[in-house]
Amino acid sequence: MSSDNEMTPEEQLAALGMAQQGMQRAAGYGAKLLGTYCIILGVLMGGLAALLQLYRPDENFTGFIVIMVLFAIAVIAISLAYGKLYRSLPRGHSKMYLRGFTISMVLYAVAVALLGSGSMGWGVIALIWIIVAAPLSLTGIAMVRK
Amino acid sequence: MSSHARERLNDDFSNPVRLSLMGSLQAVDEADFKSLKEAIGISDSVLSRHLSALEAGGYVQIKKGYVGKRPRTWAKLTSSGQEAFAQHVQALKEITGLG
Repeated sequence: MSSDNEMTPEEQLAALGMAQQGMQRAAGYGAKLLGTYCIILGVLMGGLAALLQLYRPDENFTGFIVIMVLFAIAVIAISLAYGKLYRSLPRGHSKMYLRGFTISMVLYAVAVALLGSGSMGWGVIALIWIIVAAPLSLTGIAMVRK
Repeated sequence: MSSHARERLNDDFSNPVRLSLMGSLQAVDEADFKSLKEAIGISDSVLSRHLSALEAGGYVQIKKGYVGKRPRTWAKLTSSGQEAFAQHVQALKEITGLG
């Protein structure tokens, strides 16, 4: 690899600072985009976990199928939109997303496991929604605010 | 470290465009071609040439794909690229008295 335009160390550091400054706008956009995606996905996951308590497959199979289909459509739609708009991702954000998503998924699995424990009140259902959505949505809020 | 910082400078990054590319990619997990082009302010052909050179050196990983029907290219630093560039920047800082 040959270099056709040598720079002094001072010039290199200055050029490096400028390049990273130029990338900040793109990285900021990427953080906001992934953050918004996380918030929406978190709310959707929490909503699904909560609504499954209302439309249990053994009691209301049609309702259960409708909810699952709507959830799938919503997730596919936001994922396609994200994929279309996605351009860059600030360093460390993919790990942040993965961590938030994993915790929300674990909590979602716990909520599904609770399906066998009988009907729940509105307060508990709302709490399930919030608890499942929180890890991913809070991760998203942190990304947007950064 | 026993060697002088100047000896630890990596010649592959002394070119302004490659240095800027490595610096830009250091700030992100991944960036697409357009973001890099806008951040550095260079033409498609120049960016393409230098990205390919960095990829050949094992510093950058390039991924090509499609968004709808439009082709899109993403680039990110490899782990060896991150390490080599961090060493280069550290050497620069030591030489200039910042490290």
